[in-house]
Amino acid sequence: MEAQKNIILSVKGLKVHFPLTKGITKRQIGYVRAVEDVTFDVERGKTVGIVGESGCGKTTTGKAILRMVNATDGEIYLNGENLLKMTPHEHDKVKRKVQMIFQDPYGSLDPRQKASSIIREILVEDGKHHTSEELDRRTQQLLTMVGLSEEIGERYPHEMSGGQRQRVGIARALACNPDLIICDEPVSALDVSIQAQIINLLTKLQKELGLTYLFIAHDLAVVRHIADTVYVMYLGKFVEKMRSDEMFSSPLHPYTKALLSAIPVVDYHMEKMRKRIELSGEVPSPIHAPTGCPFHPRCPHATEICKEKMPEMEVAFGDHEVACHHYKELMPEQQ
Amino acid sequence: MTKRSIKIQSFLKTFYGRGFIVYAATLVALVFIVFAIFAGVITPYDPNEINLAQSLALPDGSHIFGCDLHGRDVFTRILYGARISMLISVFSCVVGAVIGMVLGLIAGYLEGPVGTIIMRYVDLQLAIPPMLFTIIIGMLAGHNMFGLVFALSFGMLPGFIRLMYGLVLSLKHNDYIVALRFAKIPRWKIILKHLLPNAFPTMLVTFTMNLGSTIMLESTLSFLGIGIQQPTASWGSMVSDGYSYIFTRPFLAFVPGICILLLVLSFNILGDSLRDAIDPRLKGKL
Repeated sequence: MEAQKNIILSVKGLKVHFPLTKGITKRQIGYVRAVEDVTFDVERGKTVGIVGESGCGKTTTGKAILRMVNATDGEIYLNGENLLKMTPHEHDKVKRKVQMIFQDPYGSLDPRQKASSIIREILVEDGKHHTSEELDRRTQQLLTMVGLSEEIGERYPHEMSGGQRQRVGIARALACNPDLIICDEPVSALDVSIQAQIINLLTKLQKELGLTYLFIAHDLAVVRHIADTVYVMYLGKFVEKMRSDEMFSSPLHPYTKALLSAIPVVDYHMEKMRKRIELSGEVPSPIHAPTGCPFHPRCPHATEICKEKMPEMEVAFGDHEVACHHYKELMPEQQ
Repeated sequence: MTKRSIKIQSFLKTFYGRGFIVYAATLVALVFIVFAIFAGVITPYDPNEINLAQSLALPDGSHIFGCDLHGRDVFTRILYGARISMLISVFSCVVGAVIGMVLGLIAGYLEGPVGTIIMRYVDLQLAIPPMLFTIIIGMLAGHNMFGLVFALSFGMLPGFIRLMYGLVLSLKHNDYIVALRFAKIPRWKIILKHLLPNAFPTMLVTFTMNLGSTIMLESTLSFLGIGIQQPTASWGSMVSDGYSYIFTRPFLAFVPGICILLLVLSFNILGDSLRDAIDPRLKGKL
């Protein structure tokens, strides 16, 4: 099938549990269920966004795809090959196909290296550029691509602004010629005006180079802007999947609604008028996850069934999927 | 060529950025090095020849710092002692720092069972009083300069290993190291080009601090009869010999003491300046 070919990353039933040990005998006393049964596909040239509050497992999902943490269960297919079944040696060969853009633009650059040398070092390793001139040219090309001048290439990280540093980080990811770029909160450490610049740069690069992004963030507005499909994550599970334009117009899951209602509105009268859904309590600990729906202890609409039965993701309409027992009853409230 | 000369220029600018004190430190270190090398040319006396007629002679024209109990010229012994003291302290610190860095790097980078073995060994050595440990090693290694260097560098190993271990542990989880691993950069390149240069400044400061304490430790060991034997002059043994006459002939202890002080001070200042000069964040500043 034609559609099948375009799937670049396919994650099926991914689980990441961290064992909790106690004492010197390392006796296991439980698990932290960081990621619990996560399934999604990423199409070539598209952007998939994952949103959720801190500690919900967004970053761990990204790390599992990069094999920085060991997945407990599940399958991760990159271009049809199961990453989790690979030996370290086999994984080495496809490593460069998945790259990452980090949250902290300062910590992700070696303070003792000039911008151009950071990128050049990555280029040397792929063996495609043989002469020094070729390397210089390609380095320069990458810097220009992310909007940095030659002069900035000669600067050290501390001599650059946050936005410039993040651009170097993007250029470094591009230097590997990746199929998939995992953006782990790439703009949350930046100024709002710089955030827009970086997001626009990422969009521009995607158009020009046909890049594929997995965009992890907690800022809904940013995700709506860049993502095609958005997954909302809560306590290691996906609770809703939708097209990004539907996120603000027709959220179905009570958690998504609560997240959206937490965004402040600038207009004074609108702010006074709008209804806010205030969630009570804290996110439950992933060590003692609640039975049934993970959201039920905080959900304003929870009933008996939510405590007992874990809702599965089901198609509400079109591409919109939601994991909630009561989404149908709650739908009219939206209008 | 011009690029290189610009680099050297900006290096020197930062190195001497602290001004007068660094020039003074360079001068002191140079003077002592010249003393150590040309001791035989500068002074007419033999450092070990006993001349009881001159015993405890006061400073005068022919003996500017006077003579010790055995009538040996103090100035001459300072010159020859500079040789021993500098050789021993620099040597044992270099050996200790290099071995300590390598072991700390291995322990920090690999962790796992190898790391555990190295770090538990460090704990073991730290559980023994360091002086006792150094004395035992010194006695086993033999009463010569190499034995002493061996004992001293062995004694300072745990400090270097621990420091390097901690540095590597914190550095290797930095995003820029992680990014290099994603890009399939070989391990040895990550270690040589990123871990070591970033750990180096902290190690350098510890290294220069150790230089001073090693000179003092060497004198203690000489006093206890391990390592440098009489009548060979070293600054440490001169201080411990001279201090019995602290009230009647204060120069006997004070002159070598001040020499130790000056040398250690200038090593520390030069070490700090070197650290600043190799830091790109301070390039051409200060």
